Amino acid sequence: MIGHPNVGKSVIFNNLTGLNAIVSNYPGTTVEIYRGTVKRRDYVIDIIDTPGTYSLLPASQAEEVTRRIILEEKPDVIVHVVDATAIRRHLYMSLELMELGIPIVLAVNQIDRAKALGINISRKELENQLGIPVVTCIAVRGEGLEALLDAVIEAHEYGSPTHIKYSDDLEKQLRVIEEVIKEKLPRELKRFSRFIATLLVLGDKEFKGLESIVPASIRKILSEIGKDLILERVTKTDNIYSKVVTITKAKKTKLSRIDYISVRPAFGIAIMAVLTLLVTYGILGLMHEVGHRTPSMLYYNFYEPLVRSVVEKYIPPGIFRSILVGEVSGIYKSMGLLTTGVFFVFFMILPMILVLYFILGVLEDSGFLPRLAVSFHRPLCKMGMTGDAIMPCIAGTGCSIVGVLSTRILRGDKERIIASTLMVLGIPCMAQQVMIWHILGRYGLIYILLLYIILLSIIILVGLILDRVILGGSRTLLIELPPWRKPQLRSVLKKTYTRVLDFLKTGVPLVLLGILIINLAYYTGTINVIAELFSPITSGLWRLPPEVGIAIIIGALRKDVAVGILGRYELSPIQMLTAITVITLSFPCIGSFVIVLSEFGIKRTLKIIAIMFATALTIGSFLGLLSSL
Amino acid sequence: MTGGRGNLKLSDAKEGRVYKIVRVEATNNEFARFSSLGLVPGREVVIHGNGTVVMIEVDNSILVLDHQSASKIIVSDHHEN
Repeated sequence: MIGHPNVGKSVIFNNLTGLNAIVSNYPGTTVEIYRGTVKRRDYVIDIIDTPGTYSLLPASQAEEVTRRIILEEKPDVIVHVVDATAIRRHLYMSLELMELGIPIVLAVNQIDRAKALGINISRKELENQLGIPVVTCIAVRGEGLEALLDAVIEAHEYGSPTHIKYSDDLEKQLRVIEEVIKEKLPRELKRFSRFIATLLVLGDKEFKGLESIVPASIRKILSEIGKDLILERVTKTDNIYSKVVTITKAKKTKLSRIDYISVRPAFGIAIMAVLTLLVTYGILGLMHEVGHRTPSMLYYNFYEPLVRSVVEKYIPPGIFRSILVGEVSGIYKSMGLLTTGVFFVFFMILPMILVLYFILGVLEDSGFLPRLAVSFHRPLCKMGMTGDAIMPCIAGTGCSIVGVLSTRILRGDKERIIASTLMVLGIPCMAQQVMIWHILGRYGLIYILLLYIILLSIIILVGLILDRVILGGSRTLLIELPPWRKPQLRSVLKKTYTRVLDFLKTGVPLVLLGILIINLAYYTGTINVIAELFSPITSGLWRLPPEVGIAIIIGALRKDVAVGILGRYELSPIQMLTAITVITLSFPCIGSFVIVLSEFGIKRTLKIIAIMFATALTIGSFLGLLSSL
Repeated sequence: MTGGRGNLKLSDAKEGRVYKIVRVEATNNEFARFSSLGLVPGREVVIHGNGTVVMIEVDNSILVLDHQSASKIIVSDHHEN
């Protein structure tokens, strides 16, 4: 399944397969590939949902992935999903796909919306014009999907794809190119020689090496051929469009105020930033005030006494009892798996994370994020990125792992590495932020605000520097604003569920491991060795009690736990601020380390860690100076 | 820009006006990208905003471009209504 972002591919996919593919409203959300199967008649059909793609001439890693899937997996049938309300521009890609020589079914989605807008599409005529089966559907209601499957089966059984015919000259030139490159292409790509010939004239990077074998007479005019190819495709789409579509009423697109604001300088940024912050942190602050007391009360009055009495009754004093409930009572003092561990996970992180992921889901599905991207284009340019980078960064406020992975939607390598670095450096994950609210909030909201200001300044500063250090990069912004949509409760809940489940599955074991390590460090007295070892930095530079060194080490495992255990130390407000800042800055947690490593390789990962550690040392020392004043 | 027939860059286009794309001056790579978004000769574009970036409507979709990209698209005045 292939198509532009936001055409409803994921909805169709979910409807057909019932798998948990994330449905969302901003370009490129399906960065990961989703696979699923569906049974129809005698067939078991494997479906691959590819990342939203504007063109087979890829401009981002996500689009590269789409093309690789086609060329490597060689699907039996391609379903090209298009949006009926904007069918003209989608047809360009249909023509691109038809070069592949793979049977294609065109799925015209949102046919109801098109009708409401006065756009009438003749399905039969479209079939005649393109020479491929066309199915209309309304994916959100599941209408037309059975017909789609039938069309896929028929295309597989009888379908022989037709190439598009261009003008004689162009055809002749393409054929010459096709002939010469066919011999050079590896066996598995030979069947795509025509498609690759078109890529070559359009200046595709991956196949640029083949240019040298093209006869000189044609090589000279390669770029003109490419231009002709585009223009002929455009003419073809215009012709087809005029025969297939009739417009019955003129319509005006209404833009909302936010759409306009997002294009305004400074003003737009301020409004957008304030809007996001207010919504998210307003709710977070409220929850903190209201929700903080209740769980602690439950914990102290009911949960811990009960668990402790049961454990102490059946398990003799010693290492096992200590691991389970610790030696003294108290959330931060005991460090037992059943006491501190359970409280961290179920009483502190889980309730808040549920709400935050819910808000994130609403923001994504409403179409707000692309607007944010537009507002932030200018400032992000100064930091070596484009407005597009705001989307992975927002995802990064949930979890850097997701954030770093979604940098794949970005076009430039430079942009990807900068966005990823800033994310692991300065954007605390959701669970960590929850802990920060609990621990730092005790000293007053002003300190939370201060922390965010510090982190934001660091992000901006490091971004500005990285833009100058890393050369190249593009400042291009070309983004589609999807219509505002009322977020579907089902989709938002599904996403929240998937993300929370992910936290429970991959995050919780690490949280418990972190607590176990600290527990053992205290039980065995190793804590003193660690404190001693790191004291030149922790107490020398950062003016923190040497014991806090263990929290910073745990930060490499889970930063939420690291911040959480700070609760056991008596620190001044500035010391607490210092400790949390250095925990955030000094290392990526193990999860993001692994993902950065796999995305960028060892060399760049080490560079990122060096940047992080240097920043932590500097900022920590500065804050340390402040606290000793 | 008082009813002039002259061509201009999309980046210089006036808010609230309707233009027609005349040609695209870009590499094939960029041109292909523009094409898949409907930014091709012959199409009508409505300028919804021109500030830090350019916001336009083409083929029933709202697109936002930076000024440099927009300057590669040449449009002509085109207001029938």
